[in-house]
Amino acid sequence: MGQVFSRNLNGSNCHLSGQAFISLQATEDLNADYDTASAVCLAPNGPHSKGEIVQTVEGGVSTGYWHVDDVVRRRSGERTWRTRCDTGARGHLPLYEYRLRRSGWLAARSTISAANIGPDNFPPRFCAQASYDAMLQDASQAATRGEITEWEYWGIGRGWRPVGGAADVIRTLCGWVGLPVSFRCSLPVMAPEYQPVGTTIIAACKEVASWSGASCYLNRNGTLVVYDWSDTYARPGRTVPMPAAVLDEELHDAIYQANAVCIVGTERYWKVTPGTWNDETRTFDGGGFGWGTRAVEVTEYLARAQNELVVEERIEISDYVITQELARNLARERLSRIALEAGAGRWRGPAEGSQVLRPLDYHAFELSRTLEWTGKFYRYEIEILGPRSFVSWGDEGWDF
Amino acid sequence: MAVHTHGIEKSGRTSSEKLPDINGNPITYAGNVDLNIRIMQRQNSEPTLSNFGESVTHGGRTGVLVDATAKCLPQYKLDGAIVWETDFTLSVDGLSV
Repeated sequence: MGQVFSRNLNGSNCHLSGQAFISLQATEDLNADYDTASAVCLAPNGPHSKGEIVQTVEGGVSTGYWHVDDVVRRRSGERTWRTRCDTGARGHLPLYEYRLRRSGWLAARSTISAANIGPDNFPPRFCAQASYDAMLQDASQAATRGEITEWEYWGIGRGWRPVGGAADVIRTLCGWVGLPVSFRCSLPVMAPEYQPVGTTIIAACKEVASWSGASCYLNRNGTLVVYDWSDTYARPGRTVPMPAAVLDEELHDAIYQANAVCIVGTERYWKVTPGTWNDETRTFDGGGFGWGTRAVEVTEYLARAQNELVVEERIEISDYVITQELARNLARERLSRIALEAGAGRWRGPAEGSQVLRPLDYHAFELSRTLEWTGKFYRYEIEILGPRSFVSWGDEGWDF
Repeated sequence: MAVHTHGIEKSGRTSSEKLPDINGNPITYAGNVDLNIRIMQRQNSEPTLSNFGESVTHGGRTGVLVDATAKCLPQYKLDGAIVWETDFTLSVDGLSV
């Protein structure tokens, strides 16, 4: 089918913070860490500088804020040397190419280091309040028995940051770098201990959210949104929006890249050790209560196609202790993604009227908009990639 | 050697395009101006075609030699020798020719 042109679009309603677009390619992808865009603009008053926050306006509708990642001034005798016909002025066009990343990117990509979060907070050591209480209890008993000094006991308490839940971890991490965060779901699962060091803020937030089957996404305003992946995509009745007219359609039905996910780690449990009966003293020696660790292995499966054998993806978590629930959530989220992406659809059509579509709110995996000046009009198209089915998990696994 | 200039042709070419402007009205821009002079001459000896890409003068016009052809015309004589017809295209800088 043909290309899509629009007479309603012009330089005054298609611009990057006041610089008319020659072209724009913007991709909002929930699987990527950040949305990205590339733009070519005319900037007679000079370019935007790197790091600056700019706004894309398409057809008079804001499509969000971005950080300028790279600015390229292009001067070429053939491509940019022009004579302006109404004034006769000759010179290079003020043509700038921009690489843009979603607003909030600079904070989200920053690493968890002493310089960013403050030496008093570094290294960050989070633990669930219950774990913290138990840890102090153990330390208290050790101090009573004389195994550690009182100073060591207090040191143990100060070294950890007890939190009410996983949301507190994300809120704290984002607060340290000034990244706004909002929660669309609760995060019931918290690893007993978590020490993120040397990783980026967004990677740590995604990891913490994944314990509860959730994920993170930087929205158009640069706010980190924590959302439930399954609730967004895997619910029945959720449909992907279509362009005003579908010019191209692609419907996939692929074999899953993996049909089983196995999560392996260790969990802590409250251990009871029986004492040994001493006939001489007629009392029990040793024994008592304390934390112990044991292996956790959870495997979840997808339904297989004809002749398909099990292909397992094994994820080992050794940096921190986990729980059965956390392992199950991780496995199910991973499998849901695999299942829905293997059966995704891709639709292309005119983008006018579709500026408001956002992946998270409209249950699409990826939205790509292309705006291109053709000499007389803008060609403006959108491509939508989204799920065509849903995944539902029950007590026994995937309900298919 | 006798040389007669019997034809001169001047030509100019450019391209134009409209680009969007923040005011909403596209602005028309012209691209590079390409000016040429074509000199057609006849002479009574075989010429050697050389100096391409260099500034040369033919028929009193100077420019960068971008194209040249020479053709033997045995049916014509000039001062008793066979006529050769040459056709030089010179590229000229500037905005007018």
